[in-house]
Amino acid sequence: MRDRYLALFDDVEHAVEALTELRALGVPEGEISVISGIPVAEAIMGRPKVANLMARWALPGALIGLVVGVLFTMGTTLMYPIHVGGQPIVSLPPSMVIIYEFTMLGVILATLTGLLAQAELPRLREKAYHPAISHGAIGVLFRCDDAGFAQVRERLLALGASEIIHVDRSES
Amino acid sequence: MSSDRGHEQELAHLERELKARDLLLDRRSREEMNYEVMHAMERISLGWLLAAFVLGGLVFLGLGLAWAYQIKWGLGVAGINRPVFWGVYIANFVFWIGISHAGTLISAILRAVGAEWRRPITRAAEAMTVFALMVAGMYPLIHMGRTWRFYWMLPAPTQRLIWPNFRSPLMWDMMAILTYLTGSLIFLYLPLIPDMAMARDHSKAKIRRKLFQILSLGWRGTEAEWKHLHVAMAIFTFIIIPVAASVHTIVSWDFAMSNVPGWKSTIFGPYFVVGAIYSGVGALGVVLVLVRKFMGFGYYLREQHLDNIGKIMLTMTFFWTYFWYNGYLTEWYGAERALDFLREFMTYTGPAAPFFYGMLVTNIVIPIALLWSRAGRTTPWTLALAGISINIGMYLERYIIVPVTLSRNRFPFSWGHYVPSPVELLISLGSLSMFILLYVLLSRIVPLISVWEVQEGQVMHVIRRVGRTLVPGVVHWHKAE
Repeated sequence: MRDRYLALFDDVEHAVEALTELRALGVPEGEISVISGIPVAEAIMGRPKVANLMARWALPGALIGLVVGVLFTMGTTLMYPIHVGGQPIVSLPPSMVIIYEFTMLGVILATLTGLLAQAELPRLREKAYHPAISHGAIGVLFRCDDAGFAQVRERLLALGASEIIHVDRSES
Repeated sequence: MSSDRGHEQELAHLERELKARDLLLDRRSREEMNYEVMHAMERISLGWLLAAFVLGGLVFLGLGLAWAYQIKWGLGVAGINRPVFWGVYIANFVFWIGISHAGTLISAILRAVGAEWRRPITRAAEAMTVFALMVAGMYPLIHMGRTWRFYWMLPAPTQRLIWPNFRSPLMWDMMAILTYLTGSLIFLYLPLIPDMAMARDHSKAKIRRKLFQILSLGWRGTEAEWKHLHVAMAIFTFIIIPVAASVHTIVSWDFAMSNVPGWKSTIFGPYFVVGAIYSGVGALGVVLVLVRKFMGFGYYLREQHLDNIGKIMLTMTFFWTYFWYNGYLTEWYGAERALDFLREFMTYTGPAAPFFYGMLVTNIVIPIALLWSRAGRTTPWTLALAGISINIGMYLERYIIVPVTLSRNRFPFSWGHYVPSPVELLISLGSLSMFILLYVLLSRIVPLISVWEVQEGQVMHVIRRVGRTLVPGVVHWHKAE
């Protein structure tokens, strides 16, 4: 059984030391994460970089928007062609405005969707959190087995953890 | 020894001065900032209730009763008539679209160039955009008369399978505003999520806590959440700038694509964008002064912010003057007869001359006089006065562009003189009240200061001793590799 624990620290320096200690005590990197009230770069915490795939959402969004724009402007006129004074049925200059707006709308909606999907939001029932984090504390979330927890706890408290909270019990 | 002690005292004094000047150097604990912002948000005073009640009454009078009266009796109750078929409703529409510009656009530009002083002002600015767009979006519906037929503008076919004409500037307007409103709402909401989480954590009332819990989407501040928020904001920052520019350009094309003398102009696109930013920055100055005063945010909104907003206002004064004069001079030099008629109507002793000269005084003379000196820019009431003056001037400009221009055309037998009716004036008052009311309500629902962004800025800014003096510096945490 490997339970989840959240250790709270008052500053970044102590949290960084705690991360080093957790690694030394055998907690795998993949079972540690950092929670903070302001963004802290991975390099500062000595953590692996979070993969960012936002462009993979934004670009298809732009493409979908562009296609929708083309269909609305050119497709709809071709569906119901009305010849007026010899003017072309499909005209690019006035169509560009709508195509542009739909392309932008596509990027906007796709970026939002990408953010929600990648950050796994909304997540209303997640318990691994403490209100002190929004007051400036740094939370170090980790998994640890029952046998090793006493030692981990002792080390983290020695490194300045203000609190260590048992989050939940899990099978993994 | 004594000279060293004297120097140390000088440095201590300098440090105090640097901190007083720059919010980001004057660090406070996050807990203290959270409590201050939450307290301002949760305080329901008698003055606030009174303001909400009066504004609510005006909204009901204008957008409830007056609009209902117009819907019942038709557009005949408005002052528009041949040849002036576009009156204050369209002037109001252009005006509010303009106000919407400074918020998101200024915020996005300041984010893009990494202007650190922006941190406490972005939220108030972005909220302004959303509310102004909501007000602006009502005006085409009001102006339509038969409001219930608004769905004809939606991109969907009629029962005869005929689609709206996507080549019409009015349809461009609809799509541009929809895109900008969607983008601005998300641009406001994304950086609000971490502050919603803060409000969720520290709110006392149960209903509020539940509301914040939902709005914060369960935000915790994990590495992945911050990283993706940061990247998403970067994408939005660069997307929203061209979208904002397109919106007011397209609004200008509602006029410029016609053959009406005074409207058909190649400079109208950039002229409208510059005018929109100008009026929006003016409104932002007023909003910041009011938020500072009534929310007790003197710590966050300091002289440096007023000074910087004042400088942007002053710069925009020159830009607007340049664009306006450019358009005016080329038309004057062209000596087209119809434009001569229009100039006679609105200059010298013409009936519309008060609007024309009023516009020049309030848009050029007063802002320059008030904002030229640092003292003028950093004094809240003079900055607010300049902002109000700019908005009066920009409203007069829109009024001149819409009904005044339509009053004179190529055919003297079809000239007219437009006077707005009481119904139009009441609806205009109602929409202004709605904008203020939305702001008043928002001030008690969301933190108007982006607390996490201020704290992030304070963590990054340091005062370093270099040689014999102290120098402020920035450590870019988020750029650490």
